[in-house]
Amino acid sequence: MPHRSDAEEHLRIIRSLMEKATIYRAISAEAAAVGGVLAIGASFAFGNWLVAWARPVEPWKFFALWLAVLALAGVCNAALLYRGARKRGEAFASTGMRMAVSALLPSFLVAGFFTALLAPLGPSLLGTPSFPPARCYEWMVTIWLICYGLALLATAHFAPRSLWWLGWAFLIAGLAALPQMILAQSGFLGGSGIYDPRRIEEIIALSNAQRWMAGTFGLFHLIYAACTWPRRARESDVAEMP
Amino acid sequence: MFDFEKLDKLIHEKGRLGIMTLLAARPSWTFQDLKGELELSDGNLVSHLRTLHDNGYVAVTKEMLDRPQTSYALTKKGRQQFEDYLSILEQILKVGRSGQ
Repeated sequence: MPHRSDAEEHLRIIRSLMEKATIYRAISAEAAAVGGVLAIGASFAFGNWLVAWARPVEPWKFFALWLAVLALAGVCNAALLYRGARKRGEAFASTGMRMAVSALLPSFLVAGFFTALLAPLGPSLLGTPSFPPARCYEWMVTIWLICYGLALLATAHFAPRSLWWLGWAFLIAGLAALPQMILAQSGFLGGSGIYDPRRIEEIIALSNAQRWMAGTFGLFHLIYAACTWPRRARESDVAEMP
Repeated sequence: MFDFEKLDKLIHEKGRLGIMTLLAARPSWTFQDLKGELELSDGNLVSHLRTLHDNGYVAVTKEMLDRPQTSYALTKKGRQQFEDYLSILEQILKVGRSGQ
């Protein structure tokens, strides 16, 4: 006859598996890999990584570039989530998806608000002077990192552990980004006899911002993809099934 | 007094209990997804799935999407057996509490 402890153990297994089964992964490993590659590619192509050859870029181009990367990665993620839902015989707009969207939305709205405010168009519409481009790059990267980290952490109660780690990584990076960029700037300017400090300041700020984007949205997503990539079963074992 | 012999021994094994629980939580699971969640070896998982399938608890669907894919779902009988199994576990807990 089964003991009570035996029954409790089995019920514990059932509960824990039921919870696992309702976990929703808002970012698939494949989409993270695509997003990571896009971010590193965009950063490298437009990033002024080599300061000696760098030229200043208008802030709107910086925003447009990363908006395009976000749109591409978002479409790719949606397509992969749709494919996954279809495979499992679930609706795309499942309960998990709705929970994820409502958890992600507030942080994305905050990021969108500050992007609009800091973008050159925002201040001019308000009739105020635009922010200096160097400050735009630094603050935007900081806000994007922090908001994205908070968005991922908002899904923690139904997301897999890996997304929770990813959220913390972005949040910590966001908190570290601004001081690092300001310090890097002052160190460079202090030690150089630069003819036009403001122009150089823009170039350094843009270069730093792009490195942060590559190191976080690029590298973090690639690490996440590598850690969560679906393991494939051996075809021979599957073929043995009736 | 409750008849504990009614407890389904087929489901009571931990590996198969895991499979039945996941299949009860979601309409359909692929082999890869089951393997990822349960962390069983391929051979173990295949063996448990075969046992459940042979006893009419699990239905197997083979599809050819971009590559061959096998997915699993609970049958009506499987779902009923799982629900019965759960209610018997609850009974065991109740009896255990009242005996304390």
